[in-house]
Amino acid sequence: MNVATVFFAALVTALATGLGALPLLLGRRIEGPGLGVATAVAAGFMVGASVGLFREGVGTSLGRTVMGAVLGVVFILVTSGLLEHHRHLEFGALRGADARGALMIVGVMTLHSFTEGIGVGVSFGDGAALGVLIATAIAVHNIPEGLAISLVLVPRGVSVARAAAWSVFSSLPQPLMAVPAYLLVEWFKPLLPAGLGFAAGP
Amino acid sequence: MIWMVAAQLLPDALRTSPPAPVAAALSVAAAAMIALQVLLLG
Repeated sequence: MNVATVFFAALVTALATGLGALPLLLGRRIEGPGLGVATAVAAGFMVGASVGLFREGVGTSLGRTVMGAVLGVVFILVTSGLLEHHRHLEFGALRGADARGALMIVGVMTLHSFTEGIGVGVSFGDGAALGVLIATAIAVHNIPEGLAISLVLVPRGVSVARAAAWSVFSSLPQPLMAVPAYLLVEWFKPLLPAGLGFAAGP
Repeated sequence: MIWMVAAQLLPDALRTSPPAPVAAALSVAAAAMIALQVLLLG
């Protein structure tokens, strides 16, 4: 096992996020009740993923997991409050409330990807088999995250290709964090429960 | 992600669909994701 393998595995998990935009490419234009149900499916996958993150975190440390979740919610409330004051906010071609919503979802998903990258790196530190398993699990749950991002962006006028690019962007911290977490596994291990709580809460 | 679901995705879903199919889709998808995690990670 070497650093390049860990980086490549985490990069694949990041690229998997872009697959979440594909259903919108096939549907070309999802509207009405179908859009609502598709959004609910993405939301359900994210609830399921959060339950998994909490479960993993609590298995190591309940206190640090809860602390991470509380920190995450506080961070979101502060960020959301700050963005409320920027009435002329722009995000690509989006303006105002649409831009704020898009920025929040891309920002939150990008932030929580740091923890997933640490998860990949730490698990590779415990062996290649566990690393591949965790990277696969994260890649699978990245797809609905990309779907969620795309379902927020595309109905507001962003192209499917750009939504896929933003989805991949939101997961780029994974390869960036996986390598230091793999190299410094003993240092990163105690941070993992707090990070998992932080990722699941917001 | 829980915040994202509550603050952004659910209001978006309920804007275009009635509550019953939204609740059903959310529940089935959440259960499927949990089942997949149990299958992969034990």
